[in-house]
Amino acid sequence: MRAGPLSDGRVINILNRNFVCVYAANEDYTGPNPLVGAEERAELARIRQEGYAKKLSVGDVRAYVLTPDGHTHDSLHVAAATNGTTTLAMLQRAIAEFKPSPGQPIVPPAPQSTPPPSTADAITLHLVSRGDDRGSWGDVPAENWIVLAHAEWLAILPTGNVVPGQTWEFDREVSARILTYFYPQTENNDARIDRIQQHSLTAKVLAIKDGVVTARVDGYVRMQHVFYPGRKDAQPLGADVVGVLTFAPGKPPSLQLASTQAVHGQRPFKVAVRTMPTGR
Amino acid sequence: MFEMINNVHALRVIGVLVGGMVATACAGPISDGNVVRWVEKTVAERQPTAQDKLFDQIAWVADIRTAIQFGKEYNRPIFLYSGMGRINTGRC
Repeated sequence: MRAGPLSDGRVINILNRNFVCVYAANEDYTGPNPLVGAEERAELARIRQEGYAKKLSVGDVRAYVLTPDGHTHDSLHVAAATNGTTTLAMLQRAIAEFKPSPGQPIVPPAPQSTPPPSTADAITLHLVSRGDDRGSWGDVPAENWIVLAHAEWLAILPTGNVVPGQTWEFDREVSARILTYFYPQTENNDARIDRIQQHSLTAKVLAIKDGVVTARVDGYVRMQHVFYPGRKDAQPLGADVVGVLTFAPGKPPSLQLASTQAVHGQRPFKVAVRTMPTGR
Repeated sequence: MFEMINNVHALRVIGVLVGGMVATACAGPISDGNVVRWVEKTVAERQPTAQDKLFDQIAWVADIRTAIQFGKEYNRPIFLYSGMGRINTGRC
């Protein structure tokens, strides 16, 4: 859906000029620990109930049109909605019905994948992972934001004097927190670190210049990862990693990692990680 | 038939393994002298493209209740996408 109509300039234009747009992640609304409040959950439940009552297509993955006062008006199963022409037709029917005055977007469009809040002394890593395949799952890269608190980034640095050629292993819990996101786009996004069977990130000092240490990083992760949520058919995943760590004493480090080879089941993929600039 | 499926599966596995070996051969081993340049270049190449981020050009509001509030205020219909995973991060 994202790589199809929601990246189609015609759809984007008609949405921005005529609609109020919102998306909802089902797992935020359901399950034992929903992230959204009861009132928000009730709204999605009501929208679905109204859809059932009107005999519309209702389910986990749907595109809906609601009336301006929030009642369910139309819907498309995702299999139909991924066809841009079908989605456009649904939007145009709604415009004909409700006759909105076309205008500017209701809110300024903004990046939708953004780093979570963090303390001033934390560092934030941005991870991008993408299967080598294209189409369906492979069209849009997956992103994760990994915040390392002060104590955590300290734990990937060596203690005491640093000399060229010195080697050390990153704190294993911290490296697991990074490597656990080394998987391609899958519907299951359970990234618990107990999926990991083997992992390591080790560093070796290459140079020290003006008090700044540059180290290469080598590592790997081996784990089991399930494609669809709730399934028991985990497939083996292996990724080898090379990176660069730079740091000065007492200062937050900068870390970049890139997979050199990575395969989930039979699906090759590529990962990149980098530290986001501070002072955002 | 079963044997043929097994053969196809075996070929796929071999293909992936060979592909992985080729990928490794292309990537390295990456020498200490080249690692900084290789990592910086590779990380930059793997960032999402402008095409990947067209989704961000849509004027999304924060949640359904906010959408309904704006829908009433501006007399605009509401487009709601509900799905599994997180469409904003591509983890879906």
